[in-house]
Amino acid sequence: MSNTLLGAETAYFDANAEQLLLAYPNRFLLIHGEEVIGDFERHSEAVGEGVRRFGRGPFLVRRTGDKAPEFAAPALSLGILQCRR
Amino acid sequence: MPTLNFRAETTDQDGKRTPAPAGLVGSGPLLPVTLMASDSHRQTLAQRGEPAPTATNGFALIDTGAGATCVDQATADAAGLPVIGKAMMHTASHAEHEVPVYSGKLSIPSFGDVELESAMGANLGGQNLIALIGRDVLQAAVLVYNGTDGTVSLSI
Repeated sequence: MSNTLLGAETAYFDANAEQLLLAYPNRFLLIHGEEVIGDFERHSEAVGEGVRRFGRGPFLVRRTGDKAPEFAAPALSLGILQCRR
Repeated sequence: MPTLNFRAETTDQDGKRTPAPAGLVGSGPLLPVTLMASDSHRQTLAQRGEPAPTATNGFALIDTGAGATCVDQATADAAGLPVIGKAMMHTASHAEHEVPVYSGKLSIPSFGDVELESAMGANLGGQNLIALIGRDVLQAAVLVYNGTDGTVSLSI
């Protein structure tokens, strides 16, 4: 089991992506450890159930078929949110 | 579609507020916001008889360069937002590193609420910001930036 943030959950999701998509097409999954806790139509429903079971988490909420989130914010990445003359 | 109009202005010695377009250059399109737990989160806590986490007030910068909305990590933790994922981020001070992904809500006075399904955790505290509003939110919005007047209009 990975010790990184949500390492076990993301590894499980990625390793089983095709099977999860077939079993739960276009559903939001709530995953904790290497277990699918539930599948939901709405993201908010998955988060609500995650909070009910695990408090602030962490727990993983991902829609089947979605890739890992990619993030780009040039101003933040370059550290130029505030640049003064 | 609610609309929020913001005008950069200054106050003179007599207390009169006048337009100050240069202020928009300096600060950018800033909005006063409250970062708080999502509706589903609060409903879950209410059903269990638990109090909602304390919301946090601050400013959010509209950043059309950001692909996703970011929230200040320390503020998100203080506001009790759940961690529902992770993402990779590059910054000037760190090589690629993992950041938590939060679920929560931004409440904008005189405007309404913006649900944040997946907001990236970032260190914004040094910028006096608690959020960057990115294109995931703006994809459902009309944003008018009028630099000559020093006004910004946001409709979602």
